[in-house]
Amino acid sequence: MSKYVRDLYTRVDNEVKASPKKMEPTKGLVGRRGKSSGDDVNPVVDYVKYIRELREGNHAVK
Amino acid sequence: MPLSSEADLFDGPVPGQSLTGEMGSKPWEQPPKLNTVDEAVEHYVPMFNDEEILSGILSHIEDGIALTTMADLITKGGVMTGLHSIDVGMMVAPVLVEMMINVADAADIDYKIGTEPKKREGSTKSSIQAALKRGKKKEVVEDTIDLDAMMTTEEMPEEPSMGMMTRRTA
Repeated sequence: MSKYVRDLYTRVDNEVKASPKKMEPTKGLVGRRGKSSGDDVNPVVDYVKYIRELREGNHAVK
Repeated sequence: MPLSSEADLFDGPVPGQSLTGEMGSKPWEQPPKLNTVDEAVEHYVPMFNDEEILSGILSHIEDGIALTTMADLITKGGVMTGLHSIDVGMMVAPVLVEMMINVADAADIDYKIGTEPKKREGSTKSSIQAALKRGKKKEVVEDTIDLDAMMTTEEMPEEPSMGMMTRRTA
């Protein structure tokens, strides 16, 4: 299963890198549980993007 | 199951034995407690605030275990305890990897994600020379072997058949 995790992480990573950089922090699903349906947002990509922004300091701390 | 002693080999479960148990007797056969990625993230992320768990994770990262492997193990544990299904575990794994990168960065530890391309051995001058030397040595060894001696076969004396159906002569 580790192989699939690697593949999935690579895919998510590419998707996050390909997404345009915004000045405002990612909102997406984070902190808005249960909003996944209807919002055209991949929750996994959204979480990864959010955490990465936190690390890079491009996020307002709640 | 340890394979050190011969007796242990016969002490293990019979292949397929796990399928003979009653349906629903194992935790992973029960309905999962966490059904969405959001719920799973909410369960796993506070884990990184636990000092004991965090020090364990950091020591494993220091040992050079790939983060994807660790995320895989953590989510597999969740599946085994019936916390979430295997697909939710897969989906939450990249989030765990990202969290582990965060903590490794904060602790200033080098980490290996597990997606890095494998390093190929470059054909440097020294490696080419070493390969040539090895080839020369092999040629010398092949020359010294006497092929004629190898081709001759010793004739084996025929032994009288001693099977059950052989007729006794004496």
